[in-house]
Amino acid sequence: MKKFLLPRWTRYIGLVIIVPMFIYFFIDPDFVGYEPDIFDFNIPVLFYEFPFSEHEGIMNEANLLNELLLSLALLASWLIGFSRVKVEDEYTWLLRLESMVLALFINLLILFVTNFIIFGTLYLWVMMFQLFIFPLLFSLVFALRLQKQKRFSDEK
Amino acid sequence: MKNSIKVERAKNDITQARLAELAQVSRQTINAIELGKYVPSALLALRLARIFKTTVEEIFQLEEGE
Repeated sequence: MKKFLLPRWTRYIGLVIIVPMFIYFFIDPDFVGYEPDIFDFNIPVLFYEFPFSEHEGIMNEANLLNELLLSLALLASWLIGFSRVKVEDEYTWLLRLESMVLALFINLLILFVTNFIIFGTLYLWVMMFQLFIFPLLFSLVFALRLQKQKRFSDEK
Repeated sequence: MKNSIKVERAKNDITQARLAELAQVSRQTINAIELGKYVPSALLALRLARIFKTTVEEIFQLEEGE
């Protein structure tokens, strides 16, 4: 299973590239208003507006800031969540697996709760966060469990 | 499952860190095994037995009802 893991240093790259995502989130929590011209590109667009409104041909101008940041968040969560720890062994794998199950459980709980308390177009916000919240949750739970285990064995 | 790794370590005067190094695992793993929080794989159990020059059955014993 080790072959699926990335080198240890990729974790730090992940931590660095996730920062712009959070900065943007504080600038524009809705992820729709702040669209600098520098990120306007002509790209092939399959569906421009939900559900399938008409658009001019295949190529359309779109602001790619959101897309780039989302891609960065996905990349960062992959780099953080799947990088090797200092000593990679079978117990680490158990912790990783348990963290994944716990992250999935928390994720489902968040979905369950938001399903009842967030309505209308705001729910798109929930769906957007669902794209990368699982790997981030997994990374967080795994890091906390590793830290806890390390502290516990240090005390012993 | 109970184990006598702590006893074997004491007999052989080996620290958790040294045992971890010899077994090619982390110190946290040895600690978790000693405390019964983690049951190692057959491979690691055999490796530990070889380090202590004994058998797996000597180190790991099933508890009643297991």
